[in-house]
Amino acid sequence: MLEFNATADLLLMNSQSQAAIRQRRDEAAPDAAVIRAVLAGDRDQYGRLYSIYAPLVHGIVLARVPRSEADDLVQDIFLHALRKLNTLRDHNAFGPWIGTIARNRAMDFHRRSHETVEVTDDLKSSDATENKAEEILEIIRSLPAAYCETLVLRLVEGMTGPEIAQRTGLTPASVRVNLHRGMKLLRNKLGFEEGL
Amino acid sequence: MKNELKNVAADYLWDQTGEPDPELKELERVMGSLGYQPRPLALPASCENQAARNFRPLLAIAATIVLAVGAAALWLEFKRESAQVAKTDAKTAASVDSDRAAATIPDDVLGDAPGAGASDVRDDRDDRDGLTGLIHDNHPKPGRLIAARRNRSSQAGRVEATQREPAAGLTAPLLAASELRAAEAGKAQLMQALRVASAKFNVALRKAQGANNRNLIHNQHKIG
Repeated sequence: MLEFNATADLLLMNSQSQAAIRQRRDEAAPDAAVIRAVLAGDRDQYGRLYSIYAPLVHGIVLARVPRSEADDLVQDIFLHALRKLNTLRDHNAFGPWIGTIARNRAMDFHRRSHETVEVTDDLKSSDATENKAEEILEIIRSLPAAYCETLVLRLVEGMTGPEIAQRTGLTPASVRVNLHRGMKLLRNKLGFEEGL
Repeated sequence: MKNELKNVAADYLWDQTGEPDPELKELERVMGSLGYQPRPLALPASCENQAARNFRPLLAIAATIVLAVGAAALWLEFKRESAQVAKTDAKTAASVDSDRAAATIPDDVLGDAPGAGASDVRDDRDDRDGLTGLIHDNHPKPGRLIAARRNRSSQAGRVEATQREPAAGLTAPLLAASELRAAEAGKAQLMQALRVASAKFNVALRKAQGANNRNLIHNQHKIG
């Protein structure tokens, strides 16, 4: 009888500790809880993920495709991710996962659009700041991909280094190096070409 | 690399703390105009889990295969039972033949059973079995062995015995009429189930093949 009670206590403690571990994990990584809810059929929760990760996806896409296409592509990527969400093994890795989808979709975009229309001066924005930003963006795009993406996320989307590291799944050290080396290259290029 | 990391311990580029670099601040201002503008996500009503949607044809195919295999197993079992029944029937017929032949042997040949003929021996056996000759011993009695040997050499006697006294084991049906009817109905049902399963399997197969052949160009005609 005593043994039975002890076993029951152990089982109870085990289940309680598992629940506590899960709660702690959810607190540490809220994505997992949200993804579980989405997979259970709560589609409104997907809006939370969208609001958190849309800037990341936009930045990744903007580093590769024309600005006019970026917004639609972001929507497409999130819809695609929703359909494939059940294939995500690690629920805490939503950011890196959707980042990979965004990179692949951007590559697909270039593969499909053989006939691209060059943006003429008439189609360009009349806003001088935006024009300047487009020019700098072109220079950033000419940098190596690792620097380009990190710089766009930092300068265009306004994310900090730790945020970039957390959402892309890169180590903070890698992001820091990419930021500084990329910035150095960008300064050189801007200094040669126009300067700020 | 180490110098870089030391210098950026608390720099503005890394985590927006510390003294901001004016050039960097200006870059942020200019580039910020291209940043993401929040826009609601338009989820279509039909947007559902793709994997779950694709799982259905596979499930249908699997169910059809299981059904077909089950039906085939049932049919094989039924066939095996029929074969066994036929074999038993043949054995019964053979033993009845030999019994009839034994009945033609005179009593003096069967020295072991004084005063008792072959027919008496058979009657005793029938009484013991209680199954009216359907089930027999696998171990033949000495009298029957002799009878069989004699029977091979004298076909005429066997024919005579058979004509004289119709064999009860041959005329009695192995299954009752109602049981036969039930078996026939079961067989028909089984065959119907097999036909349905086969048709379903074909439909599922065609669907699966059709899904892969979406890009086929139809209605191709020769030019000229």
